[in-house]
Amino acid sequence: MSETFDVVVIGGGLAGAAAALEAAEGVRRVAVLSKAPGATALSSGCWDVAAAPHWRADRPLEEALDIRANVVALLREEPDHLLHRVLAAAGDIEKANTLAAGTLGRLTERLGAGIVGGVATLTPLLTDRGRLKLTGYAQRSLAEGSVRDMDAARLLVVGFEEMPAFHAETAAQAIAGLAEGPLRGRVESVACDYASLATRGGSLSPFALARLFEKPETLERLIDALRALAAKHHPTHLALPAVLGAQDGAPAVRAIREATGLAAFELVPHSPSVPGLRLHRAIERALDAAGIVRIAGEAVGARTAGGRVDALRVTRNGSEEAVAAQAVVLAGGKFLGGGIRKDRAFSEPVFDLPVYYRKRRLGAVYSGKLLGANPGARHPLFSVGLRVDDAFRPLGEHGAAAYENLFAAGWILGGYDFIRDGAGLGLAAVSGALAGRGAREAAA
Amino acid sequence: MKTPGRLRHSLPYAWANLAVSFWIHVFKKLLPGRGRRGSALFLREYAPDRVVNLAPEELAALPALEACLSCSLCDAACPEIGAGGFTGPADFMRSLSRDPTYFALVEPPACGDCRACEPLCPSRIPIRAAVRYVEDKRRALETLGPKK
Repeated sequence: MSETFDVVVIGGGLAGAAAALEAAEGVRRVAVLSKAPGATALSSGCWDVAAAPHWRADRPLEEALDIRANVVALLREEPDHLLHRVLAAAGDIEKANTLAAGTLGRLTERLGAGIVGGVATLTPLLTDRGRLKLTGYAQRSLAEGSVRDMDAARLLVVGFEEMPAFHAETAAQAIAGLAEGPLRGRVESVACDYASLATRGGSLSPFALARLFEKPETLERLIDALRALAAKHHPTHLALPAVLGAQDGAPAVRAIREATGLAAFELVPHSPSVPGLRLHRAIERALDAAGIVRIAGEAVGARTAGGRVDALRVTRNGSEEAVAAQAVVLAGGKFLGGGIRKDRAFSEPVFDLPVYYRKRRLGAVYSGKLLGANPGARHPLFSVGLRVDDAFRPLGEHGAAAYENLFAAGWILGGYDFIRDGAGLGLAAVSGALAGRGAREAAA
Repeated sequence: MKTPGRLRHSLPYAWANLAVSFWIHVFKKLLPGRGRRGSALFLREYAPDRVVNLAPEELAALPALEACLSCSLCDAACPEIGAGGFTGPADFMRSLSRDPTYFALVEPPACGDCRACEPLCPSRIPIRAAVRYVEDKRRALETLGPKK
């Protein structure tokens, strides 16, 4: 069996979704090929845009939040940063800013998952480990915990007896430390306590709890428990683990706020997380709504001729078939998604494209050589990936675009370190939209 | 090639050791009633040791079960969670994936047949097949009788 599409996107994460939705604006037959949930589904669900390269949590918060300043600093520090490609594709920094704002804003609308934020100022949120997470866009249930809006807040961090993965004391202690530093004045006191959801199960994973919160009685039990805790601790804000619903946490947060009269929010979880899963599901719904075909299969190779990609070889339900395309977007992620593999040498499994660190092509390298000396350092391993030209076409053997109708986006690309640069899903989405636009024009 | 000096001095000792071991072995064989004790012991204890054979195709399927990332995403799709105190497929998969041959230590979950969890698995583990595998093997264990 063989199918024909205008644009086929490899990868069902945020980069792939942005590419497919952008392509579907101009061509009719668009497909997303996904073998399994990848890094997007396993993420915190927050879209980081650009962090201040040298800001540390002992500095005033205001110094870290200006996204434009952070982008400029990253561009200056890393001459081969992926942001340079976005800048080149857009024209100048003003246009890049407009492009990013438009792209990400449109994407939040199409995903319809209540994701809020912007590209002007980072939103400072608290994590479940009691640290600060400065992010561009977040789900509303998390974004309501922005410490920017807090003024002498008395926080109560609430854990669940059923959820050993979240330790409220640890989070509260760390937040109390922040209240001495960058959150001075914003947070006055931090307490912690535990609520029982009175489930019959023993210890539950965040995902299992999120499922339980789909039943109204679980939320009712939590609200009862929170009323009792509020009477005991007199907080102004309730910080809860991000498990208050498998689809969206906002309804539960709203119900808690109405029932207790207190501000309530979900703490940014470490990954894998329920907000990541919510994002994954929102992506699937948005692709379906846009009439984009979702194929559950894996690209294992391609048929190419005359500098063009004709078709992908796809394994699906154990058999191989050809999927023909006018243009292809590679957005299969890196090591977790399988877009880049590392055995002895780095490789890109579908087109066997060269893999780079900065401008250096990588052959067989011991991974340890690409790790920094300490966990907080820059790890070159994370910036390894494909290089693209200004049209977001991946480079081939000779340093020019490998195929005229092949584009790439997201974490499969090298040149950014999503942890250190604080530029994960935001940059994935912007590069996805640029690659999707290129694919659309190549297919039209 | 010339034998190095240190080795040349130790050669007579090596030969003597070999000779002594050889004659000890011969005398052991000549003593009555010792010859098959090991295998008889093994055969007698085999069932009580609760060793269950794995078919070659089962062995071939084990690496796929070891691919669990411990992400627990599978829990998010499970309709059985909360029913009868069931905590979800993630606990089961995480325990089994450490070493799928240690099925005797893993309690098979109260799993329906929906396979709703499988599309959510980043490692594409056939979770339902893993449950079946543990159920089958534990049934086979029961036919061996209780441990003595």
